[in-house]
Amino acid sequence: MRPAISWVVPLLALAVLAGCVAQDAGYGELRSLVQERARADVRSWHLEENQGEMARRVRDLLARPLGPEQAVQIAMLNSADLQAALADIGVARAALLEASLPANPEVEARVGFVEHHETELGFVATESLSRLIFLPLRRGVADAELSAAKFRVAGAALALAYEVRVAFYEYQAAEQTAELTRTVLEATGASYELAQRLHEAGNITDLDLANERVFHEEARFRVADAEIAALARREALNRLLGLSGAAIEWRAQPRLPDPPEEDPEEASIERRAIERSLELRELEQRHVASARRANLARAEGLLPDLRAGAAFEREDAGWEIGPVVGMEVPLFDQGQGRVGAARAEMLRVEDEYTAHAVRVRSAVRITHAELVTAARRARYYQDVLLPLRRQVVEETQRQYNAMQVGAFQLIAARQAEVESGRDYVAALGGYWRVRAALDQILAGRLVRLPTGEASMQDRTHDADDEGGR
Amino acid sequence: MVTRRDFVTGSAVLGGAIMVARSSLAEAQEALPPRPAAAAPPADAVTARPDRRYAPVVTPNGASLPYRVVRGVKVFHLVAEPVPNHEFAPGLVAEAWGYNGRTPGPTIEAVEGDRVRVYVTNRLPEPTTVHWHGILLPNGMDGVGGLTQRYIRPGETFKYEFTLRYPGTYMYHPHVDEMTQMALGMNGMLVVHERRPRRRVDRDFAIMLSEWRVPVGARRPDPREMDEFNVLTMNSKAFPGTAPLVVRTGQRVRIRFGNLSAMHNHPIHLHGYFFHIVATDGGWIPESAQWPETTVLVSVGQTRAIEFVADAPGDWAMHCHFTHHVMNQMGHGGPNLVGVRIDGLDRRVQRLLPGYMTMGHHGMAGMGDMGMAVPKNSIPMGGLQAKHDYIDMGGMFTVLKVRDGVTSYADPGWYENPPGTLAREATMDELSTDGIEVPS
Repeated sequence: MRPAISWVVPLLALAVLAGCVAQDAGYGELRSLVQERARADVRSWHLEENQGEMARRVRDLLARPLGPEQAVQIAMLNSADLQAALADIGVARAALLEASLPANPEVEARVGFVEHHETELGFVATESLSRLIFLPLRRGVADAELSAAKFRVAGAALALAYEVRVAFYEYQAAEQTAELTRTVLEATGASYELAQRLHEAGNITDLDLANERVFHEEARFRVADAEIAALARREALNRLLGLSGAAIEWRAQPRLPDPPEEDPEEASIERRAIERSLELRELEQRHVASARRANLARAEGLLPDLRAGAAFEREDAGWEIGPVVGMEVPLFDQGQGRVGAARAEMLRVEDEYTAHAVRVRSAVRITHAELVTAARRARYYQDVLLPLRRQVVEETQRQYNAMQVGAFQLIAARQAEVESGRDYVAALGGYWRVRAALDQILAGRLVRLPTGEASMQDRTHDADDEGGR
Repeated sequence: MVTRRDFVTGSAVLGGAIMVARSSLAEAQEALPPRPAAAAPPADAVTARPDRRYAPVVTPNGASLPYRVVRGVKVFHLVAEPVPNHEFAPGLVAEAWGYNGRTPGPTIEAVEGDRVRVYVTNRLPEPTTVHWHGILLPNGMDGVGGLTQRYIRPGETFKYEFTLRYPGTYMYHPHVDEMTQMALGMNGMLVVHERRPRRRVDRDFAIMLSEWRVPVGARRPDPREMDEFNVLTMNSKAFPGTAPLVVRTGQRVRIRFGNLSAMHNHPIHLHGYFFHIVATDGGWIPESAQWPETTVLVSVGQTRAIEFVADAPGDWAMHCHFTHHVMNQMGHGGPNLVGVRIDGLDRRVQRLLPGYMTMGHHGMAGMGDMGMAVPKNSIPMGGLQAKHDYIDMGGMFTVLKVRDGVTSYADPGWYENPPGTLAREATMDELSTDGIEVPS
């Protein structure tokens, strides 16, 4: 017995150590990855001990007027969808744990009833040696899959952050637009009141009055439409941030920020996008995993199930003890199937990598170009169109003072200025949306391409993965 | 050569006035034609003698065209050219067309019987001619482009020559593309004095009436305008740009009007006097047939001369009686606000337009005086702050200033009313004495 024990113990020790997988393996790296790429702190509800602190942080953020970064941070702490996506890591971690475990020993017992003799007893205990030998290889595969999962989940977090930013800008734009439609309503209201006074004094006809009133009543519709659109955008944010109850009373910073003076830097933008792409990192890890899987399959094919153990038999003469060795003879099946599958998978991942790299490069090029255009458009409103509208109002005021035009025309000029302001808000919102898209691609997550082509996410991930859009 | 003159009745004072007028000719408001150094005229020369027998015409805000005498012929040179920066009144300057740098062109003055030779140089961007409105002359000198002569092309100089057979008040103006050229200011007076004046006047004024459309804030008159003219002028000036007609109490005054407006006749009304219309385009009206009037209608294409004795001192308004012709750049856009209740309305609109103010609900008195920001280069409803109050008129409006004892014809300022002759607010005593009940 003692000789048997002497080599079992080290093996068991190896097995115990090998089974050590940290309970939060991958979580820390995920958090630092998301912090680096999305500038936000993602937390797992199930791994963190201090749930109260997370809730307090969310409450603090909600207490002040929100900007896009605050909204993103709230989502990282409060979105149940993100928590669901984090489960991917848990699953991969469990797979790593499983890959780190040695096989269970097999034990057989036999009883034989022999006529006129003592009952025979037999015990056999074997352990899979090949499983133990190849445990590092198996772990390597699971490790690579865990890394892949980490990149994938980081991508999902980034996708959520992007969606929150875009929804936030759209909400701000919608609120600003609603305010401007209310100003237009003031203008039509003032015109209508003047018309009412004129009509009261007998200076204009019923037809003139009715025409003025039409403008005013139509403006009311536009206010109602704009207000409900803003409310819908607000609810979209509530969904993304996981807010309900009293928490939905938050305020946002009222104005979209002005566009920056300079265009975004273009130098080596494609290289940066490729270097940063989390999807490509994930594909790399999957490639590594496939390569390791191929190696494992080859190794297991050449040395399939090698078992060793001990057998004990009690017969008439006494106990018989002896080692037992067994193996599967790789006569017909040397694992060619599994190796081939793993290799094919490797090749598939290589091609996916190439395809995705092409998409990333194209997306960053076109998004950059769109951003330059959007910035110029917004600046053009700021520098040219809005000052022109102001000049029209001022000159119309002078012509009004000179009694060359009437008050209706003056109010209409002001109204046209406000409507240009509405166009500016739309252009500004458009700019920030495209800016968020470029930032997102350079942070490592592809956003939907302008033509609506599917990206890798669409094909390989489920539709309920809210990222990638 | 002195001949028998017909003095106006009561001429003792007038004779003295004439003497004074003669000696004060050197101080006359407008430049006199220079006297060229002339050779002795040939025997058949028909020119005026250097010593005039007539009061030279005064063209308020204008001038007379200089001439030289060449072998007995009065030679003039008209240059048809753009007149940039013509000022209608302070604050309104326009790109006009005219003659010799002016609109109206300088008044051509000559004497009955003179042979005149007028060179016309065209510096306009398009062809032109000059028609001598009312003058009897050979058909080929009539100046109608295409009909009586070929166009004077840009850069060319034409020669017109004819004899002025009859005295009177005439005009000159283009006869090619008149719609454009006249609307931009090309016109001028042509006065032919009597060789032997049957009636002497002490002050003789020439005024050309015109109408223009200058979009408020713009600088160029629009010659295509047919109905809505917004600048009305006497000698291309709108009040308060019109120079006053200054005369001494008791002087006999003649005013000659010509109307080359595009579309409107002008009934010119003189306050404080009645006058006689003494001449039309066709010549003198016999005295027994002269119409007494306070308003003389000068239709488009007509000239009229009026005469009166300026025996009532004061500042007498003289203006076209069309109410819209005595407003500067009046606008007709926008709603009529007279009588509209505006309480609260200003505040409501000012939330959108801080500089807004409702106007016109109490009528339009004093609009030009409100100091509101108006487009540059415009004088909407502009008038003049005068001695008693703001004169809120403009356009075809001027003032005849009659003063005792003036020797200079420069603007003598506002009239000082002798006591008891000024309308003022009635006192309570006066009201009660006269039994006037003022409803509260």
